[in-house]
Amino acid sequence: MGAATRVLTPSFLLLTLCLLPLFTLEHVQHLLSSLLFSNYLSTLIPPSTVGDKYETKTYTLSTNPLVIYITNFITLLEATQLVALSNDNFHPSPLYSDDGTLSHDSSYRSSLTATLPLSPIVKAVEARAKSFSFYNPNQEEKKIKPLVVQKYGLGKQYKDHYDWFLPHPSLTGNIESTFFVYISANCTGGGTNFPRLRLPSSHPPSTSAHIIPGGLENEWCEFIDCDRPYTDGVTFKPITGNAIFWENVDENGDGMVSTLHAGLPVTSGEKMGLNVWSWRDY
Amino acid sequence: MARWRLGCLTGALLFCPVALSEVIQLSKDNFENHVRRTEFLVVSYADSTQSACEPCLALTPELEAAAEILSSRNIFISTVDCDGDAGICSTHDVQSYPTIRIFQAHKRPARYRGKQRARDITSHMIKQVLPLISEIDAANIEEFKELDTPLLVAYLDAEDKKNFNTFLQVAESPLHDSFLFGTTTTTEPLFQVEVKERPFIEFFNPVDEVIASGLPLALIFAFTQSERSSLANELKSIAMKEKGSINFATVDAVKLPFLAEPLGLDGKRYPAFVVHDIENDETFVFDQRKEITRENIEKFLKGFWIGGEKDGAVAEEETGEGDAYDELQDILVARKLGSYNFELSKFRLNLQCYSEVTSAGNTNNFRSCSALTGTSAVPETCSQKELVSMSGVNLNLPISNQMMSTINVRV
Repeated sequence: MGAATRVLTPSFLLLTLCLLPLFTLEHVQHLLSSLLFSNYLSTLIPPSTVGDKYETKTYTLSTNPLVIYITNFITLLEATQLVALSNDNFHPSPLYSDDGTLSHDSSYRSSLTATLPLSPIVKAVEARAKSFSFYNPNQEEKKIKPLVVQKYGLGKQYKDHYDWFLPHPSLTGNIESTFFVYISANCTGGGTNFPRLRLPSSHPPSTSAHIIPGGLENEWCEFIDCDRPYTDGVTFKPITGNAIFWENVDENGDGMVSTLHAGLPVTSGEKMGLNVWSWRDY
Repeated sequence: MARWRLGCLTGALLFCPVALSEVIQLSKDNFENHVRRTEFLVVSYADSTQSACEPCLALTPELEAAAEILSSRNIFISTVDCDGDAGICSTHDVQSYPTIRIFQAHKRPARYRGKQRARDITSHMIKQVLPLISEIDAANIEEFKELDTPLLVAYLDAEDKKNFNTFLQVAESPLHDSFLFGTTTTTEPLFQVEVKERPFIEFFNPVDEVIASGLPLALIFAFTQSERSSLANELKSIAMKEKGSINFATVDAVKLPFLAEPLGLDGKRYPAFVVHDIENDETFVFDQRKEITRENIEKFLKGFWIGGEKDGAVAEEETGEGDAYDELQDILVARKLGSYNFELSKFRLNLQCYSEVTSAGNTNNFRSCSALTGTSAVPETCSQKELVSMSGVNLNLPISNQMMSTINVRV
């Protein structure tokens, strides 16, 4: 049954996209939202078939810092909708300093950022994030920052950075955790690199080469770019619909240096990623 | 030679360049053919047209250098331009550039995940073609030393089949990934120490060479490869100047967190710079709150025993990148353990044992064995499990399965 909805909904979307020019923005958003809601509900029901490629699954890469990989965090349809929603809103991505001020430096961060207007799809994504037990183990009310989409075209990147801020008098809290969701990943390059993480080996890796397909391939290689040198840490491949979750701060609220990460340069095509940042007030 | 001629022929009959590159450019038309016809082929997938792929540009001269050395061993290097031949790259599921894969006849292709530098590629590939156990003698020992890999040499009598078989069993184990194995019948010492009895196993570890020089060791600690490279670059001129008086090395602070405490470092503040005077067993930590810059480190080094003692001869500027940097972490990783003899003031005391250093950062687990003197022996105070480091020159032990399982513990 799940499969049937999935076959149908993309054609709905196509229809919607074709009709786009005929509607005002409000119309489109309304239409999209009605679609989205039904779709969101359908994904809440666990797929009955085992090993369904559309199944949402979580894989823990590291417990300290907590890093979890999620397949099918959103459906492909939702991904398309998020892309459409963000496309009108892009501006050059800012850099954040520890006192909370913004600046721009395209040699360091060359992507474009869109802040998404509050809409049903946004609410759906927020609800999805909250539904994961690891997101909020203490069941307290957590704030989510306005969702933003980052667009990385050819050669665009965001060099090594943290999502958390250092303590500063003007700072009232910190970014506790991050979901980074690939909403469009038609590209080479563009991996999300964590230079200080190490891949858990499902078998002891040999010196510096290992066998491709079958054989001794690490099970993580489906999601992680296993062609990168071991010294580069862990690089997630951009795969549409999938997400990475990680905690930025430790139990004292201090930023963890192990969460250093970068959006590697896109070498062909385009990548878009959605950030869901939870905010913790001190 | 044959390949050279082939290269000229396939050079579209234009002209035969004087210095033909050893690196073969492959396209969809000749890819399959080349893979089929070559016993060992290293393929680099890169995007040559874009400034977006800086590592691709950096790799090109490294491949050229590696190809020049490897072609004499019938290992060839080729490149695919994923901009022009996107088809091959997507068929081979190449996600990012540069990606290096190794094609070997009758085997599945393998990923190369070492450093993308000539030295590492060369060393890795030569290891692929070496037999399980190599014959070693005074003539070729230097060649083996240069492979930057721990080497176990068994001194055996030619008719000693029993011990040879034991050694062979170990060589066939997964240990093969981390060590080179060799046998020798020579009576001359291959390393520094005279071999009086057989069977006898010598363990050569490249990292010991750094320590055995007796020079102070300057260690650069940082979390990431890029931090280490940029710091190494920053301090390169100092390393050149101090060549012959201080050895420089970079240390992966993620992999070797337990090194911090014995060296007196605050393990939470990286990058860090520390000098270990091995002879006197003293460490000098550069203020970890200060930024590591060339100026600051120069000032720091002037502050004590190094200042003024050099004979004034200016070390020659070397062009070889990284020559001044013996990358400690590489060798240590190859051994799957991290230690060097910083707790012992003499290298002759070259067997140490540590409790299992398994949990990263747990410095309490770190302890040295009771002092050992003279030639090495496995100390009785250490259980085999505890023996995770043998950075010794000699293992003056009969070859037995027990001894081999001792080595196994470390891998």
